[in-house]
Amino acid sequence: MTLDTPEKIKAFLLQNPKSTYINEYGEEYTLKNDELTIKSLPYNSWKYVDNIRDRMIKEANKNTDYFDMECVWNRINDSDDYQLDRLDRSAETPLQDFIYTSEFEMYPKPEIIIFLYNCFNRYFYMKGEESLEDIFFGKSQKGIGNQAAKKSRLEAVKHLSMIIQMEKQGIGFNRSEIKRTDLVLAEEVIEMMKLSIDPESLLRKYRRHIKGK
Amino acid sequence: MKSSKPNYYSTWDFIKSYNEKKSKGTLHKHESLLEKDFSLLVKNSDKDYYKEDFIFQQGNKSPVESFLTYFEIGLYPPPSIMAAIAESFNEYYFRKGDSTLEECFFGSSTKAVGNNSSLSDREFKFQYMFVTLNDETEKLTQIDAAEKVITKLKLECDVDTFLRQYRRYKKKTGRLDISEIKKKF
Repeated sequence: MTLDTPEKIKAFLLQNPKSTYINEYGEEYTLKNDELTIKSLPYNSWKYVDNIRDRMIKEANKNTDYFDMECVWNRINDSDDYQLDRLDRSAETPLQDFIYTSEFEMYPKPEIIIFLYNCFNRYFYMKGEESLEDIFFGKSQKGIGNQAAKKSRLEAVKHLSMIIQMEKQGIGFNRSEIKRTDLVLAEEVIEMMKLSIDPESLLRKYRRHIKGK
Repeated sequence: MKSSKPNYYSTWDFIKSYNEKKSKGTLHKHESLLEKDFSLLVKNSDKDYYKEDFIFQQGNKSPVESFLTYFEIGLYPPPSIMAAIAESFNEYYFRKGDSTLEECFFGSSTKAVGNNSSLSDREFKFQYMFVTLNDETEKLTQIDAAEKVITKLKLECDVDTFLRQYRRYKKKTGRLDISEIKKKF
């Protein structure tokens, strides 16, 4: 379905009050108090990529921009050992999906290729006003560090949480009777993962993580 | 693996070493599987686009640009380019915040932006082509116009590829408004 004017979109949303409309550029229209609001979807989100996929499948027979990619994709996915689930959402984000498929020796789905293309193209188009990280992960917050730092810290917290549990239950690698303190375990995690934060702050993050659960 | 340079995987050195390994038959298991899938993707008529020298000759400065070029001519990028992009993301996560994404893809964060006009003005060449093609006084054929644009802008790609890119660009952007674009020139 293509709605090309704001009036048409508004009429559609009035008929379907609970739904939203996403156009081909990934702009989402919603109706709030009879006012049309527009929000650009972040590239690295399933909503954005789902929109590309739905359009691809619908426009597969027409000679559009998506046409070639869809044809090529059907050729590869028809082979016996390659049945990728098009709707698989086990990865957190489309970017993670791309990294997983490359680890599993597979070509990514075409909508993932288009998503990557749009991200890099946007980066070149903005001529440095937006960093690649802003485009892939959204605007960065001060003091948090970039996405890679964030992810590695989250992994450290998860790992610490696991070995604290193991220590409490007396399983794992510690064969002596004396239980190690949480602080000692935090030091071990930091050393193992070669992180540059102090054990106290990792422990604080861990406690916050537990509280948040 | 953590490499010495953050952007090692996004350089031609990586692509060359990949291609060398491929010709010697020493690719890792997962890489050779990707090659197998790839053979299903490629139509015979498109084989020329996947010759090794095509990647280097189209004026692309890095594998990322090559990725964009392949998409623009409507083709899936070859395994070496896919590996370069996936490995660069892995490198970024592997460095745990020591390097930015720019550094992992383009070396330094400023290099890709300022002085690299071919990077920032991907659309310019197509708009220039559009104006050249619609020049009332000359009435050039598509091929002649493409040749003129390539020599004028000193592009390093061949006519066939450029035309393919241009046609897709036009299809994507819909009807171009000549008067709007002419203001730029």
